Amino acid sequence: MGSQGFGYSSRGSGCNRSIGVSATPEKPRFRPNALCVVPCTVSQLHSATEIQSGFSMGEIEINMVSLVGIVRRVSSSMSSMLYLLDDMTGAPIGARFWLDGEEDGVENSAIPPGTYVKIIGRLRSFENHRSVVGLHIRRLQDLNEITSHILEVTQAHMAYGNPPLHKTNNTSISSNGTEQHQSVKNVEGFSPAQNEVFKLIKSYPDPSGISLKILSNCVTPQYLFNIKNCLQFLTNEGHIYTTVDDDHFKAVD
Amino acid sequence: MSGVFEAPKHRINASMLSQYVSKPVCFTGRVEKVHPSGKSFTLTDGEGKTASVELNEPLDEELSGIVEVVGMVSNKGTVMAVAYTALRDDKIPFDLELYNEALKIIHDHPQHYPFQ
Repeated sequence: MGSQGFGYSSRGSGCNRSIGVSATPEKPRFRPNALCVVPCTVSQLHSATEIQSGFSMGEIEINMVSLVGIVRRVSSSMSSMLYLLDDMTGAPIGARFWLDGEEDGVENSAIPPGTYVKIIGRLRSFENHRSVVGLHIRRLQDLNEITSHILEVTQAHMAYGNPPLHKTNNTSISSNGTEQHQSVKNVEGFSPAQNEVFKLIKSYPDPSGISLKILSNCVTPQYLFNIKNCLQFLTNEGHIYTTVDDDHFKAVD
Repeated sequence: MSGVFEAPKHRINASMLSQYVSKPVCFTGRVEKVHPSGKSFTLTDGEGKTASVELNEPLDEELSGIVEVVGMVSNKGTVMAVAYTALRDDKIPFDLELYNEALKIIHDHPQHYPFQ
């Protein structure tokens, strides 16, 4: 065996079959990040941004995806089956299933065009053309899976706080994702953390003020480490004051 | 017209037809009545509202149950079908009302379920 030089990482038997999936030698075959299967629409696959470790849509990393759609065309060759999948959200996408003699979830018994299927595979981009490397395909026995997939896609992308595409205010949606709070209107001169702490104190109904304990429970987890600094800043600027003790705060009207 | 397949085909119900005139749509509904000529039929959606579908060529088969039509909306509010698929739901019935609820959700949240 031995090392093969040129920076190749030899994987035992070496490349006995160049599938074309891993085009560059440096890219390892398996991505540990891609452990989730994300339900997606074809349009989302086309518009996903290519990043170093695969693809992303806003906050979500999408590599392994599930799709539900209707097969528009099937083309087969000696080594693979190509299904053109249409889920109505855009131009159909090709999903290629490599035939390697193992049944492995690939239903070689013909899936004719006009059949609704569920496909699980990996998103791939080659020369600006998006496609799916198919891992599993099955016909839908229960067509209510069309509905459930629609709902799963919406829920998955909603849960990851995918920011709205068209409504961007002046707050820049930075790539670190720090500016995810669209609902909180920024008070002039406050940082997002200070703003949120101030809003929480201001909206607390109890006349004796909000305790530090409750405040810590309500604040966004990423701001928690900074809470004491925020309180110090707000007190110094005269926006809040302490009430029953040093750990209870009220906002100045 | 084959360009319709390459375009996004908004999933809609009967109430949304007027918003999608001259646009490609995907309409799923239950067959209500087939015109004797076989060149048109009506579908009811999950809300019980009706839409009219017109075909280029007359049907060459019995059409019943749940059908998914892909086509363009005419200015009369009918769907000019380019293709249709009969959704076989004899084993497990298709819940059209639930599908309608899903439609309303994706129309309220186009950013999470984009049509290109």
